[in-house]
Amino acid sequence: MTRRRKRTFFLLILCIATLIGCSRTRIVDKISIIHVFGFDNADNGGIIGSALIPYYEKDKSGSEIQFLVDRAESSSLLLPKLGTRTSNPIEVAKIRVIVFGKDYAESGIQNAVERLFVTPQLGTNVQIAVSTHKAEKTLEVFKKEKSLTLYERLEHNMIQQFLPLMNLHVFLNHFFADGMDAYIPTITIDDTDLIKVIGIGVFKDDKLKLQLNPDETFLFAVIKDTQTQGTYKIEIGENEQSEMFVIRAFRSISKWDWDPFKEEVNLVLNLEWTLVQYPDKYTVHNGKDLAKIKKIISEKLHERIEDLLKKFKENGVDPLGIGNLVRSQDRNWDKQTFYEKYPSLPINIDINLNIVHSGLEN
Amino acid sequence: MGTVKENKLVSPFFLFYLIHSTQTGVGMLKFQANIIKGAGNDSWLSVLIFGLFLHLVLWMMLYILKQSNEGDIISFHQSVFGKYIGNVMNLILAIYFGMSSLFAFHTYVDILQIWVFDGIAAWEFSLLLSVIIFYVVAGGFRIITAISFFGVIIPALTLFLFLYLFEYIDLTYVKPFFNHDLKDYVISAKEAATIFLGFETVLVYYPFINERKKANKWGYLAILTSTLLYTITAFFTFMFFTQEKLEHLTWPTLQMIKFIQFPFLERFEFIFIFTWLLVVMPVICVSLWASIRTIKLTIPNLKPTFILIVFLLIFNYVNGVLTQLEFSLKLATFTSMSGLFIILVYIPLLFIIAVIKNKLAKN
Repeated sequence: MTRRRKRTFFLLILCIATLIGCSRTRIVDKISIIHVFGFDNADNGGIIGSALIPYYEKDKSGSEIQFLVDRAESSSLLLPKLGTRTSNPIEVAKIRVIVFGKDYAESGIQNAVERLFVTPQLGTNVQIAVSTHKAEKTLEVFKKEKSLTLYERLEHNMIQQFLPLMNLHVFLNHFFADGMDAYIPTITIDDTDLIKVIGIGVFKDDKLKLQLNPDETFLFAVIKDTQTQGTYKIEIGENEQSEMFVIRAFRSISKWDWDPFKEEVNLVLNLEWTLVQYPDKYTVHNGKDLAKIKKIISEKLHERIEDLLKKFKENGVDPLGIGNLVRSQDRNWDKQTFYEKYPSLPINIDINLNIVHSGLEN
Repeated sequence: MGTVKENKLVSPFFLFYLIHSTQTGVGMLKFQANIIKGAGNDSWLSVLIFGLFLHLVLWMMLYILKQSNEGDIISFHQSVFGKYIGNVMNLILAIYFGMSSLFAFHTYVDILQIWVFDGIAAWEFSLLLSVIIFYVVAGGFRIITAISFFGVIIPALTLFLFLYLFEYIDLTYVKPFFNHDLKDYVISAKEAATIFLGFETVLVYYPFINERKKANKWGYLAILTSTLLYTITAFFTFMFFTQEKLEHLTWPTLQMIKFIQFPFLERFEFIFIFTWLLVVMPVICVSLWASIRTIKLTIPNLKPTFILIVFLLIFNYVNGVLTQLEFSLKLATFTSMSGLFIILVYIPLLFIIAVIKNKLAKN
């Protein structure tokens, strides 16, 4: 048995030697981790890429942010070019946000999506945003903030505000699918030089086609997600007699249904909302008043959702995935014929509003 | 029957682990991207049907083994085809087992390079893994059985990870059901067939199973488990990704696993890939062992350790030097085509011979 033991011992030594030989360490302050990555169109063709890279130093307070810009013919050539300016090798594994400039998004993002987004090194919890300015400019402004919290800024607006839930996975599912169009959050630079979230932009194929304002974005999120905690204002009446209701969304369940005989789509929205502010003349304890408030809000909501759907149909975009819904229930679905009819597709909306608690009753 | 010594036999229920672990391999990480080529969102059905069909193939195999002198295909070949042709058949089979072992090894090294260590040369992984393979295969069949056992039990825990992903699934992506032609299902089944390969090694290690009559039900159960596992994984993937996105992905399972995040661990797929070593190890080791045993019984003068070292040298040469994409593709096509040939053409043929042999023996 000693021979066997000797052999095992030898193998063990060999294992350890090879294992140590194989280890390649990548320590966090010895690599340049890209945090935010931007895409723009170059004037003479090609792509301008910009990146924000935090410098980690021993002194915690003195962290600097490096800002890099370069131009290349294709997005896969950008990273090596940017790498010529950094003191450490560039690592894409922890890109948190990808920002598209408006021009770039409008001229088509196919190249970036196919080259960069499907690399295994990139994570899936990546946020994508389109800026109303150039991505380069946006990143420069962001550098001045010195905080690197763009990801968190988008995320909390998705969970507790009006943005629909989004990440790279949802984006790619929508982007490639036949019956859906992609949408991504829109950001802008406000007067005080801060980056601000202003809504979503909707793509048609790979081109940015439509921008939604915060109110429309809220309605979109209500239909798309089950949990949206946005605040929404409903005003009725003119000037001085105007009445203002403010609600905060809590939960919303939307049921889609395709009627193959009438060729129309039915949408039932079950909403559970909180009343935050309402005119003094109503009291929520009074059943009649409550019913009236519900009716006012539902009617207004109905009208606005219809406007929103009309806007989608006029622009020929389908971020809600109505095409996918019909495809899942109709065996003979065909992309082309469906989207030819899409602008005139009737959609019936039915809203069941439940006020869960107002927070103001006493 | 019974040239294998009593102290080298393994209990009947280990047949379950042996068959199941050889059927799950690297294919689990990427098969969804291949099977959708035919029936698209319905291709999970092809996987299910093909898996159920494999029960029949296993039944044929067990019947063939019953008619052989020693309980394995080596003696069956020799008694049916005579000494010379039988031995040639055995060597061809040994080459096939060696190739499928090499294929599993090659793809795993490939994954490590693509996903984890993109700057490290393939020969380094290859050499490191060779040490482990040498240890396991030289240890004999019982060690291999143990590896198969842990290769099923430990990775099974990762199944719970799919609970994390339920948030993102959407049933509309996989609907409408059954909207494809028969031809599409056949194409998908052809793509799906290769993931089940590996269980044909039972032809060689069957004499090592104790109380074989009891063991057979474990064999069928193993194939059923693999079938259900693949079907459910495919169905889940189709709810997770839209079909058009799946077409752009090469490693759908890993792409799903990427979603799992812990506060202390940003990228879970790294751990998952290393856990997969336990899944790949039985495939490599059982096939390699089967190949070596076939050669050993055909050419009794060769020492098994010598054959093992020669095999590992070849493996290291292939993994380290032949790293071109064309070669990987050729290896994949060759292994899957010959594997399909064996289970769909050769086994039924042997089955017919075995039936005739049985009839003649009775008369």
